[in-house]
Amino acid sequence: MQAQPVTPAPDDGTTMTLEGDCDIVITRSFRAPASAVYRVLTEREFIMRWWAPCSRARLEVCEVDAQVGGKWRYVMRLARDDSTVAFFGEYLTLQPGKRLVYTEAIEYFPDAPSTVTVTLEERGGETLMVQRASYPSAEVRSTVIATGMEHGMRESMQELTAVVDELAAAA
Amino acid sequence: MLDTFQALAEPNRLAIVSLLKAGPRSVGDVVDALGIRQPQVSKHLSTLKAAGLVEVHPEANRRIYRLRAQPFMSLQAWLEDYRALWAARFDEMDKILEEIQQPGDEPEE
Repeated sequence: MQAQPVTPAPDDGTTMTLEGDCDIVITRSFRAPASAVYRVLTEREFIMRWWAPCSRARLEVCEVDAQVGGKWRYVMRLARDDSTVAFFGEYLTLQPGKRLVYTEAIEYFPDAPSTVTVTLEERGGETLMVQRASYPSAEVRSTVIATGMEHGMRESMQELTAVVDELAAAA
Repeated sequence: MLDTFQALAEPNRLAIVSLLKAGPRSVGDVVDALGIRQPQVSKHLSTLKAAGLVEVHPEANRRIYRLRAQPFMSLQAWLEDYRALWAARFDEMDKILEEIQQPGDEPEE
């Protein structure tokens, strides 16, 4: 199956694509060398700051053992409804400044981790980051996304209703 | 929402949805355009209909299928929400990258 761009071309430079049956690919460029981007991705003091954007959530637990076979675990408290959700996994490959591979599971589906491969490509002072999350099957990707959807939907339902109303009025 | 994803996870059904994006089509139109056999097309269309992705209207002696907008908008709204989460994370990373790249302000090893 071909890649399906799923969101309009974003202004903020972050693209997301569903690829094949099992992958979600996210890309972004940073005005920084790959070595710096890699540090921000793997060092706890930095992860604490970026992983849970403060307007939406905060990170209550952040355990990082960034070595091959090392484990990580984050617990995020959502601003929306004050609930917590835990994510955890294991580092599989660490190539500083180049590539990072780890598993990631969400507490609701502990036995269905995705494998996340992050590659960094430095060019002319900028670094392109490509993050590919591969789920074990189309069904798992669907389930994980659909579960997240229920959360996301609550937030965007009002907006969505407005769009639907608008379309209905135009029809 | 799970239904939406599962219905779209099959390549032929995705092809049918892509075709219907251009406008309503009869079963025969879909068969001609995609070269998939009619019984399969009918089966895929009924799966898409069960998932709420298409609706059917009789027109003379033909059944015309068209996309329903809402499930796609729901899907896109969530996916955009997920993308926006990562966009927000990356914006935070920008700030950190700016800090650690300032000369003489390198954190101690």
